[in-house]
This record gives sequence, structure tokens and C-alpha cells, in this order.
Amino acid sequence: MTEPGHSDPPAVEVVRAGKRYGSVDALLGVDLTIARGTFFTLLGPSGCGKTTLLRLVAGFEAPSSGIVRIGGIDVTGRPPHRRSVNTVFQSYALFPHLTVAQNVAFGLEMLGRADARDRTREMLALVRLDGFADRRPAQLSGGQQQRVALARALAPSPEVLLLDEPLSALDLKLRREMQRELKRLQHETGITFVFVTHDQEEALTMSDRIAVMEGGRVLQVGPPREIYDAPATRFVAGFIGESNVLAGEVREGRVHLPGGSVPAPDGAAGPVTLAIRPERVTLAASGAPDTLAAVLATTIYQGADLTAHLRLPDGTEIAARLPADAAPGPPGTPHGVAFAPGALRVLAE
Amino acid sequence: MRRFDPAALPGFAWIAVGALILLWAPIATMVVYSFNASQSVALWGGFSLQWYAAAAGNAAVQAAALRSVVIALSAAAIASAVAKMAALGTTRRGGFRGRRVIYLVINQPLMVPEIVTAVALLIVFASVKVATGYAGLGYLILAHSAFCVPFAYLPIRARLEGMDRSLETAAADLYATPWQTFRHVTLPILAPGIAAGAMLAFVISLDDVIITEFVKSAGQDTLPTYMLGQLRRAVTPEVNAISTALLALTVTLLTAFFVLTRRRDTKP
Repeated sequence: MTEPGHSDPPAVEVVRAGKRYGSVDALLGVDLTIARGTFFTLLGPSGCGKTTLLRLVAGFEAPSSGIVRIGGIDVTGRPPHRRSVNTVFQSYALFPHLTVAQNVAFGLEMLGRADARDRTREMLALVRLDGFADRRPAQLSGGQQQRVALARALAPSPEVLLLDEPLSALDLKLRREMQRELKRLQHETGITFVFVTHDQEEALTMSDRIAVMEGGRVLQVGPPREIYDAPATRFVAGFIGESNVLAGEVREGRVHLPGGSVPAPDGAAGPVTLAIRPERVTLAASGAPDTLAAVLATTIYQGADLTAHLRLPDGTEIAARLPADAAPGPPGTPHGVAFAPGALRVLAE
Repeated sequence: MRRFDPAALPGFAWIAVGALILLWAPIATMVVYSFNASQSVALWGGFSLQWYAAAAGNAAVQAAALRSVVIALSAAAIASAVAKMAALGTTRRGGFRGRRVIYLVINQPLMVPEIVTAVALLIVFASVKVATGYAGLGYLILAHSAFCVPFAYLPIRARLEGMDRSLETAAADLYATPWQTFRHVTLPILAPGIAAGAMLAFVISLDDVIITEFVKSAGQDTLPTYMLGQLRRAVTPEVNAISTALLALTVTLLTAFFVLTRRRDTKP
């Protein structure tokens, strides 16, 4: 189905896709729409179903139920070699018996493309491996192999490029570099990228949109800022960055928490679970209005900043990220805990 | 804690040297005496290539050598083709019931005493010969192919198991049909294993006595059975020369086998 007014169908549509392995459900009725030309990330811990979802789109596996569409066309039963989708594998899966240029040309030759040679040269230039055409994969470093895998997958100009944790084997410095490189390539080619990762920081810095997955379900889909600022569930709040999670009750526009009450977020009523990021928590004088009474438990110095852990009267701990020059005093010092306006989020359980 | 190290035991060096001498001294003696100028196999009479010349000029040796090579080449070709399919069948289908039974069946020639197989083949082929009237080299080729299969199978299977399965997935992802994937990815990566298996099969076939002795018809001596026949009469240095030539060929092929099976490029 296309949105009214849009003639272009989305790059990928997954409709109620389920996947069972024996008695284990890897995916439970996943619905997902990925718009053309976006950098889309599937984020979640290992075993959440993100790689299974990727393999369904690539056609390496068939869903037990549901439909997969690519560019508006139902490809559910199609084998991988008949889908305009290419994959960058976690292990790179470069053909060891072929040269770099032959690897990059592989897809083009299988398609019988007459421009295979020129296109290969173009792709090697795009990933900055011009001088490496005649080397074997074994003669390249990990980062270079990664670039070959990218060039090989991009060469046939697929409708969708799938990337299965492609950066997990690289060290931190190279990883940062490849993150920028991937963004650049996505921008320059305009191809839809579907990127799988368990690294929330990677997801936040690279993506146009993120789908957070857990236990075979998609919990929340949105741009990184929305996922970070307004996590929909306790899992999302805990998985993306750090969060304080508090239980409280809303009465007469105020949410009552251990140690005091603060103005309630819009639309909250009755017993609620709330999340707030440590950097949106500030310290005020003990007993100040709209603060919670707390005592300092520990402080942890982290160079650029300082994290203070405060204990509420019922024993709940709450973390506050403070500037590095803050002086919250010794453990036991009483403080008022304040929340930045609008920073408290109501979580769905 | 120190690990137990047999090399630290007293007398280890002497036993090792003794074992090596036992293994290699007879072969060295045979090689040396194949260059003996004297008629005797026990007395050194100077260096000469006369026994090589005699063996090469002997029509019976020529015929036996040619027969050996024809049988070994045919057996190596058939065995490696069968072994390749067997290896693909046993490693590319995931786990399935009866897999262990299949391994046992494929490797049967390694476990059943060769003399048993030889007698069994003799009985079966004898009745086939009577029924069909055909008495050519086909029986030897078939018998050799059968017992060469496990030798050809093992290096191919090792190669397949060492191969990254995602390579085939990647080929399919890059628009290769299942046949193209096999042709352009699986087969080239498998090639060294197939070549190694074929060489091993060739050497095993070239060397066989027992099954050949039972299966061959009159006038179908291979090199080893010819030599055995010769030794029954008189030991001449000519046999030394033939043995040395076989040794040289075998060593060359086995060296090639080890070079090919060194796993170098199965992974990127």
C-alpha cells in the first residue's frame, strides 16, 4: 500500500512477518516500512530477530508467515538471486579465489552487464581502492576487505543495500572512520541502506530512522532523536543510552514519586512508569519546590562529566549527569532532585 | 604443571633414531642397489644405470607399466568424481539421519580387510565374466575406482568443511543462480581438494597388489603384480630399479598432495 499522494512505493515493506525455527519464534508478526533513500537501522540485542529480518528481506530465508515487498513488488517466494537487494556480510564473504576487481564485478557479470569493467573501476574509486584491483582479498587489511565488500554490494546498484553488523570486526578507530564512510556512500549513491547493529551509539549517529527490536518484535520506530528523547517502552529507554526509571502516581496534575512530587507530563494519569535521562536531572537546594528529597550516595568522575547517584527515601537510586566541575559534596549530603521541563517520559510497559 | 613429554624420557633419542633407520634404511638400500653395476643384489660392483635400461627395454615391464597407469588414471578420475558428489551430499545438506551410516559406507574400503573385498570381487566378477564374456581391463578399473573413493573423499570433504558457507550465500545474493554459484564459487574453491584427492587415489591405485591379483585376468599384470611374479623366480636388480622409479613418482605426487591440501585460501 502506498501513502496517498506518493507514487513511489517504499523500498521495503514487511507485513506481519513471522519466522519459526522448530519451536522457537525468531520473529513475531513484524510490520515495517522503509522509505526510499533512507539510512534505516535495525537495532537490538543479539537474538532479537534483527538478522533474521534482514535475511528475510535478502531472501536467504523464507518467512513462516507474512509478506515481504521490495519496491512495491511482492518477493516473498523469490530466491535471493532474483531480488534487487545486495548484502554486506558480517564476515565480508569475499571470494578468496578471485581478485578484488573480480569480486566487485561478480554481481555485474551474473547480470550480464556490458559495463562491468567501467562500473568496477568506478566502484573501486568510490571506496578509494583504485590501486588494489589485482590483489587477492587475503592480501588486504580488515578495513580494506570491508570496502571491497561494500563496493561489490553497491556495484549492481541494488534497490536496497543490507548491512549485517559490518563494522563489528573492526577496531574502534577504524569503525568511526567506516561509519563516516558509510554515511558518505549512502548520501552519494542515494540507495536505501538497511543496517543491522547491536550498538546503540552507532545507530544514533548514522541512521535516518531506527527500529528498536527485542524478542522478535519491533518495539519502536522513529528518527534517532525521537527514540532517544521519547522512548516508548522500558526496554527502549534502558537499551538506548542510560535511563532512570521511576514508578509514581499522577493525581491532580502532579506526579507523586518517592521523596516529593513534580508537575506531571501531559496526558499521564493514574499509576505510571516514568523515564528520565541522567543528563536531564539537575541538583537543587534541599527542599526547593518541584524537587524530590534525596541524599547523595556516590559520585563517579568521568573526565568530561560527573555522574552523581542519589538515593530517594524509598531506596530507589537516580543518576544525574553533572558538569565535571560540580561539587555535590560528600556521600550523605542532602539534595533536591529536579527534572528539566518536559524531560519526564511516560513508558508503556 | 609440566605437561608429559615423551621426548624427555631416557633413551627416547635412541628409539627414535632406531625407528627412523628401520623405516628408511631398507628403502635407501634398495635405491642404492638399483644403481649397482653387478648382477648381485648383495655385492656392490660400481655405479650403473643398466637395470633402469633393462627395465625400460623389457616389453613385459612396458606393458605392465602402461596398464598400471591406465588403471590408475581411470580410477583416479572416476573416484574423484564420485567422491566430489559424495562430499557435496554429506556436507551441503545440513545434518540428516543416517549420516554416520553414510560415512561408514563411503569409507568401507578403509575398514574391511582388503583380502575380503578381493575375494568378494573375484566371486562377483567371475560370474559376470561368464555371463557377459567380457574380460577386459574394466573389472580392474571398477575395482580400483571403488577402493579409491574414500581416499579421494577425505581431502574434498576437509576442503568443503573449511569453506565459509556465506560465500555461497554471497554468490546467490549477487544474482548467481544455484548452478552459477557452484560453477564460479564452490567448484574453484574445491579444486585443490579434488586435485589432491585424485592424486592420492592415483598413488593408491598404482600401488595395489591384493585386489588386483584377485581380479585380474590372465595377461593383465600391473607393475606391482608383475614385480611380485618376478620375485617368485629370481630377485634381480631390475625390480630395484622399477621400485625406485615408483618411489620417485609416488613421492612427487604426495608432495603435490601436501602442497595442495595446505589450507591457504579457503578463507579471505
